[in-house]
Amino acid sequence: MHEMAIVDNMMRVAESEAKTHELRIVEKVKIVIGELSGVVPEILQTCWQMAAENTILDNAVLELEKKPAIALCRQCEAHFNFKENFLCPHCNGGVERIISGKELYIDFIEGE
Amino acid sequence: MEIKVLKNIMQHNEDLAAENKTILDRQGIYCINMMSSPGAGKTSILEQTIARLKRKINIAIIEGDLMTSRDAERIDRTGVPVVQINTEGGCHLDANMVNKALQELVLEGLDLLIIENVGNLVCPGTYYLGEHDKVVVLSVPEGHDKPAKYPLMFQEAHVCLLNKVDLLKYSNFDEKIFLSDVQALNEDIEIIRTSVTTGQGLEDWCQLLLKRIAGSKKTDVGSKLGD
Repeated sequence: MHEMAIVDNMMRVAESEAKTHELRIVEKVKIVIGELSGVVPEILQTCWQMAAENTILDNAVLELEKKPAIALCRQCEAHFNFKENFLCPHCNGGVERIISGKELYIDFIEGE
Repeated sequence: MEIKVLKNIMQHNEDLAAENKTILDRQGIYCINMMSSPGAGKTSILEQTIARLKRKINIAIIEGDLMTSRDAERIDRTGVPVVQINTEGGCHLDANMVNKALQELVLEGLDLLIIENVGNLVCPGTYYLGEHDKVVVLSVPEGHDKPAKYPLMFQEAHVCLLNKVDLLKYSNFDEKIFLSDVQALNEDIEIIRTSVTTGQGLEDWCQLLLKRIAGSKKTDVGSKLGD
């Protein structure tokens, strides 16, 4: 619901990395998005296309990797996907903590 | 050429939130971030909280709203300092907005700062503002399935107020399912049943705030009360 603000931050990080490594052109930006990050990948793509226009990132492909919502069981310590059901499928235990799903980071940029 | 970045896109927000927390801790101010769907009763709970506590402690409110200053005006009438943040359509408050609001408040002497976030159970949960505790308000008419639909909010909250419990008798809200879902998601969460109409639970809620304010003053270096 706030993808444009996210894209703004993404561009800030990606542009500064490109500058540090003296890239003339950026071909790819890879982003990791957790299922619990509140970000809709399809909307992020659209916002990215609008924001990247006429910048060093204009022709860069945005590659998205989704990370599932995984919790640690507080009883048997198994890892389980709790997007649909947040009781452990092995022992019915609850969530001790979230292991993955909150990620929102730039993995790498690629360019020359 | 591939360049590994591995940088959190929200880092800018995290840094500012940490700065906010440092400012609050330096003054010994306990701060909560109050979140819910629109209409769950956050502002009404705040009015009641202020009425019960304002003679005992010093309170200030940061009021986040999409449009209008109606909630801030309601708080203003209670006589405590309030700073309005109008997000103009933005779905959440971020640490930068709160940072600016902090600059508008006289922090010295404050005991409690309540940030009323924009009504939304999704986005506010992903923006840390520098608060000590997250409080989620869920009202009975919204239905018992909300923790299951918005698990992150309930997993991260420290306190959950189940509000409008006076309406339980008119609704099919299943408290058993609600409680077992919330506890499955979050073992440590404190759940208080409240009603602004009947006053139920508000005393417990205020006692919990007073306890946590006292706790935060004990652990903060440079607190005005010391130990």
